[in-house]
Amino acid sequence: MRETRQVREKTSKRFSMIILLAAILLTVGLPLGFLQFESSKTGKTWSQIIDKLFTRKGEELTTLDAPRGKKIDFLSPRPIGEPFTKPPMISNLQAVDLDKDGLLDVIVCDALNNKVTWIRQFPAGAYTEHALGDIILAPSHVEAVDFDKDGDLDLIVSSLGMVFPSNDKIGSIIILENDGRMNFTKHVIVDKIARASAVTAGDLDGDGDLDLAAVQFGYDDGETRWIENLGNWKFESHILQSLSGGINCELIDIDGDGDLDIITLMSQEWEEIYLFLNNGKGGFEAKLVYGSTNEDFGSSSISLVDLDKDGDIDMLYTNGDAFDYIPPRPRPWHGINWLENKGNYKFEFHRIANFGGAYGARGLDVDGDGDLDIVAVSAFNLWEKPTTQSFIWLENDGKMHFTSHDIANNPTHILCLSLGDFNNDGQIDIVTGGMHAYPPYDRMARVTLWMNNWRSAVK
Amino acid sequence: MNRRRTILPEVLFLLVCGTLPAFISQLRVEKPISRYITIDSFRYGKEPSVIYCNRGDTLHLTFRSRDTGHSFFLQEFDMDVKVSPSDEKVLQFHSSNPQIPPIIRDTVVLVAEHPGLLKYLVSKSNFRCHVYCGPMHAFEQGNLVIGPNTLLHSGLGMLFGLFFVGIRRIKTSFNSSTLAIDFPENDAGRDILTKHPRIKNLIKKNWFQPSLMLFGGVFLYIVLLTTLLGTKVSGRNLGVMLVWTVWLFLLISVLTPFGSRVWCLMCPLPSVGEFLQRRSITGVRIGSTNGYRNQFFGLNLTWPKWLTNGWLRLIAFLVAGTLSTTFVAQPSATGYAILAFVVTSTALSLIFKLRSFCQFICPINTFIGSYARLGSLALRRTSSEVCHGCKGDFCEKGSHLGWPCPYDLNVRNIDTNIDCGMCTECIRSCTYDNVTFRWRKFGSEADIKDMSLGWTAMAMLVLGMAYTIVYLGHWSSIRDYVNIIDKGNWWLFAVYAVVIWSSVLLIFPLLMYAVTRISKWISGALQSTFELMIASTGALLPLGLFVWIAFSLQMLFVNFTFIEQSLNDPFGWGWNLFGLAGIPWVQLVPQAVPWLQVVLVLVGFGFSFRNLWRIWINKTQDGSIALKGLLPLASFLLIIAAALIQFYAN
Repeated sequence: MRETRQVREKTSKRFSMIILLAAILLTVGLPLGFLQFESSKTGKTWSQIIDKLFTRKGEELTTLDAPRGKKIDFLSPRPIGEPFTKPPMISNLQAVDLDKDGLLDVIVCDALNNKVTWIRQFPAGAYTEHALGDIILAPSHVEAVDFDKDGDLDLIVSSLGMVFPSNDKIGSIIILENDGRMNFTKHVIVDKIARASAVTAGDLDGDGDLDLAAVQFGYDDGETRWIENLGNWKFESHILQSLSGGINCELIDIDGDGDLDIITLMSQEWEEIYLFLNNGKGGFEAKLVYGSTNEDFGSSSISLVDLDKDGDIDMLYTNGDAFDYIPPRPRPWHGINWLENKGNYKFEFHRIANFGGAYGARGLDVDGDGDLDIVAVSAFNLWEKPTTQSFIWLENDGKMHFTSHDIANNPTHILCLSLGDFNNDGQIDIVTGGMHAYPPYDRMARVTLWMNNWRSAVK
Repeated sequence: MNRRRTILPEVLFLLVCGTLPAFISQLRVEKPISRYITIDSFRYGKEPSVIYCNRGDTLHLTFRSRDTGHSFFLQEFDMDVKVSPSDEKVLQFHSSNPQIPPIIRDTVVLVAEHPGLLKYLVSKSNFRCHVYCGPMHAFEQGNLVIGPNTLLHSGLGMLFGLFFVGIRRIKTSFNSSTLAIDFPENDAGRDILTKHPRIKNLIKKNWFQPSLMLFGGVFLYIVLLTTLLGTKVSGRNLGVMLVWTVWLFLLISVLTPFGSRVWCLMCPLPSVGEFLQRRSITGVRIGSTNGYRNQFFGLNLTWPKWLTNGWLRLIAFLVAGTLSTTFVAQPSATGYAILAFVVTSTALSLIFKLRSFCQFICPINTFIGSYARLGSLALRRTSSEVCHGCKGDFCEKGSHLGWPCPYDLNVRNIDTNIDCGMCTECIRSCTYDNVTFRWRKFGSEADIKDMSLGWTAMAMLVLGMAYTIVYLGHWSSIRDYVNIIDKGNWWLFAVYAVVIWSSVLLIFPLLMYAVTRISKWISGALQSTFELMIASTGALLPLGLFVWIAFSLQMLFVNFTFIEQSLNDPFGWGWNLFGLAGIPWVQLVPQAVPWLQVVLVLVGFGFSFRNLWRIWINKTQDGSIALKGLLPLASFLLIIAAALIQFYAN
């Protein structure tokens, strides 16, 4: 009897140990396994993942606004392109001399009419809009580049499939091939993918032809991919990351090794900027270069520019996305930021100015003093308040201190901008696009060209 | 043979009741017409929220959005129409294959007719929103009802048929020597463990329950990790999907009806506290604590006597139930609630003896404790004689073989599934080897004696119906009352809470009392109205359980794709573990859901009617009095069931 009890107790102890060990292993092992898997998927370090998980609403909330300066009327706005009867939804545009006639044109993504259009400047100062190619559902980004190297500019387009959220695989990447006579043939490079939000071209594998890098916003399921050009309009996709919310994708040789690296901006709840370091042969290593601790930060765009003119490329970074608020409202932490390149893939966050609904910013020497100022637009500001600005510029004092100046409160809902000298007067003009997806609909514009008259304005 | 002879005419009668109204309604098909309807979408609803039309009608649908992007997703007609706030033009996608390029149009034309035989069977379709528009997006829905409504007529016909069959059965039994319906006492059930000694041996292993708890603990741990650290989008959070869709469905529809309180066997909530109390995982510590034969650690106080009833549990359930929308829509709220349960349970284990949290507070126990009475599995003594001859009360007091019952029960006295958590400890601790599992007929326990349990039975039914209306209904204004998440409707939420609580605690009980008063007045029963009312609440249990099953079934079928997606990416961090990222959302057989729900209501009503008879015949011991007393209460049940059929079918 006693022996049986001893055996039972021994067995019991053994099973206790097994269960206890299993419990400890699972308690510790599961989170560690998840961490390692996430790290291997995204290129984040464990500490970056942990920081993200346990830090809420961080440094961006405590930054100071830029001082306000007086308004200088140096931009003369004029609508260009087709008139509109419904609230316009311009998702992207680029100032480019598409027909190479020496006059800058504008290529436009019209998400309302589901087409890519060309606002041609000819003769000088006269603008006529032409639709290019077939219907492209909710085009989100367009870039002119001589993709097939035949001497004319082709158009690389990303398509969301629809503007509003969807997890369905309705996105696509398209190239509109220019035959040299401004007739465009549509090549679907990849379709039936999560909503594609940006695409850019560059030789990513060093084989001499142009490849593509793209981000797909999706909604819950998104991706970052590079698309290898196999020649003869054949392509092969390589998935780099499976995060949703990608909105910007830029190519730059960040490490100076002679190949192009990829920088992506992920919005949604990630609010992160990733660098994909190229090994020269199309092999990429992911690195997280910036991540907001505020999961509601509203990342809306990045623009690569050497803002401090120290010889390396910094990032102008706006956060003002409010598509996910109903009604869309600016948030106190929305604004314009500078990510200063400190070398070794480290970028230091600097708040430049608060700007509700900030959606795009570009570096531009507005006042001709040799340093780069900033022009910025807002898509989601307090439009019910008539004085609320949709367009501002930030004057740089040369020491990276900025003063905010109003430009315009009309039109509202400006989502995108592009720079270029449209009248060849040596002053950079600005073209903007309006995304009037939400009310109020009282100050609307589709494409607006803002002619720069700085010299005469400050005389 | 006799039984078959009795049942066959009844089945035929029920078939006639079901098919005849449906057949007649088919004869009254109106000539198809064109209908022009503008559907206004907003967070979180559609206006009109119900579209009534006749079979063959041509619906010309135009769309507007009041606030943001929405869609009109009607799976049965393979359409997903995307609507933008600033544009009347819509994109019409195929719901079955969103990758087919959409058509851009001003008006969507739909012929309200299902293909083939389905046109006679399917009347109600659910249209939903398939563009994420906010935290309550999943509840933006409306109904397309195509007449003639076969399911509605058939369901109501069957319901009234069931009522008359039940009455006829009872009346027939007066003329025979046998009772119309078996008494619950007659169904002790089949002894499983004596028949299957291997199962018994397995259960008797000391590691059996801790292993199951470990399994439950892993489940709970994954839920905690994903809800607290994962995405805030509920539909993509594995924890939310596991708890509120998979677990809830399994608990309501499988574990409780078949296994009674078998969930408690693997429930990890009390595990930490219990291990601390015992300072052992599988071992049995012999000693003496509070009259038990085993050594416990902690204060081991006795739970206050005035709280040893079901009221605290009912209140806990009401609190959890009132906040259910927040739990479902905010993953972290689910995580913190579970964490609070674990902490409370553990803390109470160190203060009070045994599983005081499970016994007196656990809101899950409120649900499964009530409905476990209907469950087929029951833990009982093998032999009553052996139990009565036992002087040691090893099941209650513990032994060298096992710990005392964590629920403070003695198997000798267990005649109901309410209190027993089926932890199997008594199977180990009984030195006479006199404890077993029994498999009995569904719905064996009927009568309720305790007031708090009676109130709980009423609460369960009312809450089941309330959730059905709030979450499955087309009334967007009702959902505004529970939307504290993004609309911050705190005043409306307060009104909702008051309405729910007063309905559960006051209004429905008053209604039940009034109907029982009529029953007593008609029947001349000698018992007090209150006693009869509390007893009769037992008849609400089957209908209540089947209402919950109907509710959880739709939640599961609607969210099935999200379960797959969240398994594929548990935290919503962009993982693609099984290559399921971006699979299109589809509902499981939406055409069949209303039929299943109506069948469930009919089955629930059938069992409720039967149990009501059992309760009254038990109480009054007089067939004539019982029948008279039954009529008002059965009619009351009939009205509830008819309303539910109207809801599900129409």
